[in-house]
Amino acid sequence: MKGNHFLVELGVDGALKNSEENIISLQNLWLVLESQAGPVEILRGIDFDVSKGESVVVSGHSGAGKTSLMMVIGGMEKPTKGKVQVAGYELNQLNENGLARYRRNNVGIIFQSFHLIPTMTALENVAIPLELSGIAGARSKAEADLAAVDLGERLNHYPSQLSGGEQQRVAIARALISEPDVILADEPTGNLDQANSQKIMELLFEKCNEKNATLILITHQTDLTQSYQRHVELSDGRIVSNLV
Amino acid sequence: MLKNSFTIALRELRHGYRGFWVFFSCLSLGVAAITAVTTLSTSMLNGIERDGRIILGGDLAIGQQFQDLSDEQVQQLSEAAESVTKYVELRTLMRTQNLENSILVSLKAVDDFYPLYGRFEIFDDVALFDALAVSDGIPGALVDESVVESGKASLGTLISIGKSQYQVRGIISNEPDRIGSSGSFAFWPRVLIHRSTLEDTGLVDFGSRSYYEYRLRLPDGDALNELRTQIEEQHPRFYVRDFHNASPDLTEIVQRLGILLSLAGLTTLLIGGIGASNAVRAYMNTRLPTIAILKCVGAPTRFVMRVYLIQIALLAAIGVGMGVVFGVGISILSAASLEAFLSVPISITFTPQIAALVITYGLLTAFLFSLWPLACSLETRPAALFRNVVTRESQSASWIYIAISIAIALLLAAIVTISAHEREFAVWFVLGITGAWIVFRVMSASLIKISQKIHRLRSPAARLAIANLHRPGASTSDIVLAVGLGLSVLVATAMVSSNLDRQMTALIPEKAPSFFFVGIQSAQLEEFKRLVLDTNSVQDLDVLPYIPGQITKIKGMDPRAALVDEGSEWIIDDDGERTFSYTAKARDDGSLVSGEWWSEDYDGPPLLSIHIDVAQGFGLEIGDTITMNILGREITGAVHNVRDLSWRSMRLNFAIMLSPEPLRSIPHSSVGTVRVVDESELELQETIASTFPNVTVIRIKDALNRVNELMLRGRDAARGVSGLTIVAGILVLAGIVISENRRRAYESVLLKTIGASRRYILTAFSLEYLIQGGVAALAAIILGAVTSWAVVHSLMGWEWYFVFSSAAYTVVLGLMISCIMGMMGIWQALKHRPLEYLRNE
Repeated sequence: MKGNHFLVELGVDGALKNSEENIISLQNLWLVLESQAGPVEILRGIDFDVSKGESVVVSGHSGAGKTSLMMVIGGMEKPTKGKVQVAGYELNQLNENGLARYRRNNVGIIFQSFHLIPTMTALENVAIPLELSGIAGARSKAEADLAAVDLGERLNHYPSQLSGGEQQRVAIARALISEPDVILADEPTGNLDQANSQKIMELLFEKCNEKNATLILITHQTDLTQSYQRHVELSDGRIVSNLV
Repeated sequence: MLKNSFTIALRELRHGYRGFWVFFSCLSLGVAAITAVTTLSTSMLNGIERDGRIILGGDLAIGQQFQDLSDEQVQQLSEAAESVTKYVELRTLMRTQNLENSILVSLKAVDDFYPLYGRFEIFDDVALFDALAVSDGIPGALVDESVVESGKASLGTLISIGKSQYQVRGIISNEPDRIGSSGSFAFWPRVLIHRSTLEDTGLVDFGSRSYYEYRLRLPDGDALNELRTQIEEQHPRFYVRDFHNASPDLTEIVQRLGILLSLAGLTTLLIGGIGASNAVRAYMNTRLPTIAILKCVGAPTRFVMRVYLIQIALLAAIGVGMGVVFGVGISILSAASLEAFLSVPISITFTPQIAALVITYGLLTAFLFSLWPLACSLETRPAALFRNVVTRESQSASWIYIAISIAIALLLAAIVTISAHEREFAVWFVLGITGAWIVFRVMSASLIKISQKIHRLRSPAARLAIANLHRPGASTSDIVLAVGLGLSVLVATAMVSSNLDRQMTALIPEKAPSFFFVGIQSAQLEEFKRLVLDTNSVQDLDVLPYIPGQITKIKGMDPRAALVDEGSEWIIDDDGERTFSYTAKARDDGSLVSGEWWSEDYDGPPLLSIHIDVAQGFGLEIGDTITMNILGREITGAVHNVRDLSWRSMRLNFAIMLSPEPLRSIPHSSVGTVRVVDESELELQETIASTFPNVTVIRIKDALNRVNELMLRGRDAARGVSGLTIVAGILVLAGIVISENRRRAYESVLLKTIGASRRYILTAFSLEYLIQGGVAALAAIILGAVTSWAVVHSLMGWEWYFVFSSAAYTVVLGLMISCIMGMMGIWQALKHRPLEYLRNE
């Protein structure tokens, strides 16, 4: 099914990359933003490849360019220069609709502040990516996925009725429901206490492994107990260490 | 995808419509105004049509001025009809023992068959013909309530009509065919007598301006058309109407009033639209994170657009629905009082066409004003979620939304124009509202620009107020537009009304006559002049003969074909019998603009002196001819001179005057004017009225008072509608104040934290609203004045004056509205304790 989807997408966007070894490939990536004080170089010539199923931790001081890198991979920020290929797409060549489709089918995003839709229940929040794709049985799949993150009893609760940890579990379920190739997690435990942080990290790694999804995780936590394949450190928009 | 859009839209709305009361109120107020106005004007027109027979007093009405129908003609009518009633109407003076109680009335003398349709009602259930009968040698009369209310007469009062004395035996509570009366008879207070007593009054001598009216009840509908055609062909001088169009003048007035009020309702709706737009913007601001999340999980922009468009459509449908229900409710509740107030029958009618029209107005307005804030919100970038700062990033949107907005506006303008009875009005309205929009946008943009350049203010509170005018997301434009538009309507209404007042009083020429005397017979002329000149302090007696007739040809062709300026159409109106005059002596009123007067002893072929309106209206030049039918004789005269005497001078003035021959030899009566410079007015009135009962004495002061009374009614209606636009403006302002409440509260908390006093905060915020209100008022004065100028000068052709008092109270009102509403918001903001906000930050 995924293959078919790919073919259709290939026909529409014509942006399929040649090599399928790396799920993410960034070449000489520059991101320069204009400000009143003049142009600001956020990312400066990033070269970076990630293989399918790999988990990568990205760290760096504040303003190093971590989140901007995540936004570029998520197709939410267009690079000023360089190539971005993710899950077979060359993102530079996709238009707005193409990028929406790319995010819908290939990327799951988890934020520090959860960002659930406040007017929707946990179940509806999780089901929405599948509903957008017009996939039948979205609700029952969402129900199962919520049960898998131990929220089977909280299906009809609104975000405001859930604790921080529970909200982040809903966000993880939402990110994974369409079985994306890449999960982008931006400090997912930044708003949680120690105990909850531990549980969320375990859940995130467990689910990504289970689905064989590539995980890009931004975190300041240096004491991660989970095994990850790579640690990339950014400073002033450049990769200063890339340890496998 | 559509189903998904619906599902998600409904999920969003499931959380209730909190914050949408401004949206609903603004939209439903405007829709209710249009619904009520459209329903009521349609209901009035339907009422007039439904009650056509009652209003007309028969199936067919035949009337003639000055002269009764011949016996043969009456016989012809009687044979064709099932029943016939005849009555005579004329204006005359009703006098009492107290000279001051004399008033000009519209006298109606009816026969035993009156009325053919409807019920004539008298207070205390007095029977009509019992009241009119002769009792103790004195015939009875009925007067309407306005006579009693003015204190001129009451039940039992003895009144003089011409040479006869009557006793008031009842007060009329309902005269069924009153509004169907010819000419201006519906305008004056009514006195009703029996026709058998009319002769004795001496009022209906030759030349008196009496209307002889016949009302026919016909056996069936086919007979009506056939008979009407036959009568019109045989007697072109008769004024013939049938019940299908019982009162063309009234229908026209209702149609014009309807369109004016509809346009005012539409203005209310458009002002409400600004409120709706602001409400949508406020709502969309709360939905920005949701939009970003939806985009993050892969929703395309058009999908998100659809989700919110569906929500706006559903909410607009509720708002419009509420408006329609309120509008119909208002129509039903106000129908009875309006019926009494305007004396127009109302048959409440809410047709599918009206529903479709007002719903279309409502929905188009909702979309027109919602689309832009909606489209701007769609520019929200999902990346903003990473920074936790999802704010409106753009004040602009794709060109496609600009194109759609323009298309909706054009569609709205087209519907307004097409659905209006008088398209010219509607086109002017559309142009006016577009112009107003531009003026207010330019004014608010200028205010923002100027405020950006003001830096060197000593007062920190003033600095904050000025800065708030141009900060990102400031509501300056919306406040200036909404409050300004409402105030503009108010200024325009007030200035038109004040200008009309002025026309009625201050602008009456200093040397205006005190009296008009109509129907002076040739035999009475010398005695009349002697009596007038014997009265103390009379000046400027002017008497001219007048002879009724019709214009049949101009420059040898049909008058309509010769018409070049529609403003002069009244001269050849179907129902308008013109009066002509002649003079041997040149008129020394300084009005001659071209040609010359004929010599005093001229007795050659008829020469004409025409008013400049006639010359311009029909492109007439010296030597061109006009043919008139005067008492059955075709008389053709050549234009010899053109006069330009203002009708406003109130001096004797005829559109067409002839050289003496041959009119001098045709039986005719005269009309006169005179000025009385002291308190002898009533004495002269009594002398003439009692000596010459057939002469109609019109005291200018009374006539003006009567006009003023009627104008007051129209003014009240106009004020009511302009009040609605102000309410809409206030609602918009309230919505803005509420939507800004959180920001103001946060600002005031921060200011308090750094040591600002309540007074400082209050001064800064109220100064901001005062400046916005002041600019709105200023723009409103300009626009209102221009609008009132257009109405008074261009539409009515009168001189226009800038009314300072209207301008002054508009400024005060504008400042008060913005200040009070702003204060309410500020007060709310000041109530918050710093901890509430700072803890959450």
